Amino acid sequence: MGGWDRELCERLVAGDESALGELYDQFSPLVYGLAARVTRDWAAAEDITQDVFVRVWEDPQAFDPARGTWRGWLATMTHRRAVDWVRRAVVRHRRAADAAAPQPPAPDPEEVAVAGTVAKSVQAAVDDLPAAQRDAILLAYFDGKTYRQVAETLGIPEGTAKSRLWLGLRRLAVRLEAEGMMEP
Amino acid sequence: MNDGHTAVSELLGAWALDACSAEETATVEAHLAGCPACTAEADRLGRAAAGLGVTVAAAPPRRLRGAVLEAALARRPAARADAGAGYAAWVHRFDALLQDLTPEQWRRRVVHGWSVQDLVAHLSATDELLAAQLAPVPAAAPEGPAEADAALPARRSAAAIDEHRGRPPERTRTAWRAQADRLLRDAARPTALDRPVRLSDPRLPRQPLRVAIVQRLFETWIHTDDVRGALGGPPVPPGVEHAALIVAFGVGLLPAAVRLLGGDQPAGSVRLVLTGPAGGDWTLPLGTGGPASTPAATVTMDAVEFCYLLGNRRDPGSVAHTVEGDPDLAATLLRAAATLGCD
Repeated sequence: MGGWDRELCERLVAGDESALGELYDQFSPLVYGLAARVTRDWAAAEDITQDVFVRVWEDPQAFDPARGTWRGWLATMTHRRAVDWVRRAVVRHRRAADAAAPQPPAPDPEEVAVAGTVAKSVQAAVDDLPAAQRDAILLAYFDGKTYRQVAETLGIPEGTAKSRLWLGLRRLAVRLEAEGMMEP
Repeated sequence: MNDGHTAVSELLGAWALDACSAEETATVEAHLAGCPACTAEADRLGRAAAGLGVTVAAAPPRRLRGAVLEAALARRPAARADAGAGYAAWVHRFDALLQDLTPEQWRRRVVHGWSVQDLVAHLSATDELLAAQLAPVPAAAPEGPAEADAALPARRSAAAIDEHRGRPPERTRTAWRAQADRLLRDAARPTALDRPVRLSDPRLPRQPLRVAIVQRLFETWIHTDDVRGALGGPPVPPGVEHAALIVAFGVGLLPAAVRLLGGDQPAGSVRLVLTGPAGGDWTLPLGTGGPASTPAATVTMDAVEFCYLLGNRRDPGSVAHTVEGDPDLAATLLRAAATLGCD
């Protein structure tokens, strides 16, 4: 919601290509890293990165600076695409009866930059969640599982999975707001 | 409706994590459109979920940047950059870079033995030469007629650097930014861009303000590149649209810059071929020769390299280029190009 987010939006709407370059330089590690983590597929991560930035350039007004930041918007767009990819990949694998196909490598931890202040705070907040809520959230967010699949994986009722996701995420929101890492 | 609300609100956590089925996602989103309470909660949970993404950031391969920008521009071309918007873009970009500097980084040496703070003070001083001409009541020139005073920019720059060395860098930054914003506002007035003004080097022929604004864009870009380099970052090329503006600025002033070199300059026409998307092909009459005749030399080089040459960030003798024809004439052209920067 900062002035930078708003100005960047205006420049993109005006067709200023340097604004797209700036957005890419700032956030491509977030987009690419998140897509790679969820899909566990480098080529898919590149495709998703390209798709996300092309969509932003084509329709910058889909982003509403009054409702959040570019960081949040890009993470949301990226995550949805990555999860869609995972779910389509599952369907492809089942059809090919190829469930045992080897997993592409997860991102190299050396490459994963968790240096930013925001990243550190979020990581600490995640670590401090009650284990039951944390496990459910990590399965849903980073493995792209639906709450039904989370319930199945953890051997808990679907209603319990739903409420763990909600309670954990809410606790995370409260803490990040209190630390000034997230707009209330 | 009430039941729908309860069912949806229980799903909001899963929805924010993209952990609902396609049908449930559609149900939640249809409900959100008409329920401000759920929308506020969904936005909040969504921000928390997005925060998780930051923990796994990883730099993509370098080659991806070009591919992504190319794909984007193929779908929607960039607007033809006008001088004001281009200058505004570099002011924002330079400021964003400066805002994140640590005290140690502010002291890093950049060019000419200047620290980052010195460089920003210098940029302010050069900007001010233009800003003073746009003031409603032109500031009285304290040093008499500046028309032919080639040393004026350097003198102003040295004075500004001295003045700012005793100040916190943040004040140097905000003073530069405030003046740049005033320049942008002045340039945005109707018909303002056609008004003739002096460029940084007062010996050059007066130019419409739009050309002087391109010179501000050019200088702000090159200092962004300077500072990024001093921080150990990759070069910051100007982008096709802005490079094209800088190229047009430089090519337009080359004949005058050659005249200012003085001495015995070879006369004749030179064909300048700049390659790349910001490039073009020009035939320039140099020296005291009459109208453009058959070119006696052809100089070919990359358009973005030409931008760096104009900023005196490349040596005219060693910048990558090829020459056909008269080598003296070509060398004169390159030497003159390197004088069109502002420091």
